[in-house]
Amino acid sequence: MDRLMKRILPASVAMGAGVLVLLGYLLPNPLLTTVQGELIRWAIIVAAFAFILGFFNILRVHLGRSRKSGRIYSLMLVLSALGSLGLTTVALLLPPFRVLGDWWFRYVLSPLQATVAGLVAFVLVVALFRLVRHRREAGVLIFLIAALIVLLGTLPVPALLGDRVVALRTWWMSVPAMAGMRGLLIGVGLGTLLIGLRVLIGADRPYSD
Amino acid sequence: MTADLIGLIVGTLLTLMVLSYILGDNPLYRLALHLLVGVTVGYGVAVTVVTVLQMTLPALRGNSADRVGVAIPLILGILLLFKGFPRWAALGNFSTAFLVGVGAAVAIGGALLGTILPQTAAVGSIGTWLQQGLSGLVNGLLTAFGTICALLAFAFADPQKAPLRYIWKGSVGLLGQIGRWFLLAAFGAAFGIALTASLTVLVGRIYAVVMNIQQLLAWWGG
Repeated sequence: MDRLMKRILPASVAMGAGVLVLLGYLLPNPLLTTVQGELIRWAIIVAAFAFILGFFNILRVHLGRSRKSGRIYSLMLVLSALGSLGLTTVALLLPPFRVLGDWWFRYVLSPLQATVAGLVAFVLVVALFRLVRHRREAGVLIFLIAALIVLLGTLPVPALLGDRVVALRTWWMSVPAMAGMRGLLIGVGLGTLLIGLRVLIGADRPYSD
Repeated sequence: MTADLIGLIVGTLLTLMVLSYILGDNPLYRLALHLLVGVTVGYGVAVTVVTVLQMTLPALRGNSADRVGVAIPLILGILLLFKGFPRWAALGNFSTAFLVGVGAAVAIGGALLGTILPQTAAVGSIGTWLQQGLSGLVNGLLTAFGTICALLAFAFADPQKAPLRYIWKGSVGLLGQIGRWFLLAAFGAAFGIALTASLTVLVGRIYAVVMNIQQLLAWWGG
């Protein structure tokens, strides 16, 4: 009974739902397409519950932190999460409070996210510096040349550098970089296909405890 | 003091707290990072919950078929919440299995129809190359060669028998090495693009901080 509940039934659900959705992609049948659309809609709703579960897990982990040095950070995280949840929900559900949600997004969420995204520039430069310092080989040289061509070709100073740099950037992006990225994409696609098929035939069961 | 003015102060402070990382890892930066995680997660959950409510509530008020169509995912969702309690976690296996099954099928469909087939077709689009003359043909062939080499860069298995292994290393191994250079050409380009994008965002934030401070000084001066 335990095996049935924990392994066989969940595997049947995964395989059945997966095969129906996959058939919707592969066979142009209106019924299959409708079933596929409905199952994907259901999955979106269930995924929302997974998001809620993750939210409670974050709260539980951070509320359970007893280490003194990190306690204040965890407390701030919990408070900001609850505050953001409450404020955004109220703003989305009650139109008169929409201005509150806009304020939160404009002056708290947006500056934080944009500045962290901007900070990536520093992290990238430091990582590049470390790469050049520790690894001196042909591959690194190609990497540097590629980065330099793209950076110089992006600079808005064509008169200074000439159109040739822009042309070189365009060529680099559409031939060597495209070839590498295309190979990578096809490789990732084949890997995804293989893992997906393993799940659908039941060889991998990441849902069983 | 208006809400916008408070917002300017809050936004500027948060920006400076994050930027303080340039001086090294410090408590202000860590605090800002924790705030970022909290605020983002809270916002994401709120948007998700409200969207699901807007999706499900009208259907729950509809006919019986609509109700069944919403009741099943809602039951699966509630079962999923049992994953938070170790004793009852097995009840959530059905919901996880459903999510994994649908996710795997969507991933297969996306990989096959959205990546593998169009990218493979683009590798061999000789007609498009010939439209651009000799240079187009050379570039197309070079791209196709680079794509195949980049794919061979992921061939990690070697044949067991000695003569075959030498032939393999001399052909697939060599092409794989060339493929690694093509991959590095792509990574370098992606690095350059990422650096350009993040620099643009950083400049935007610094500009916003300067403007905020100017506005605050103007307000302070009356």
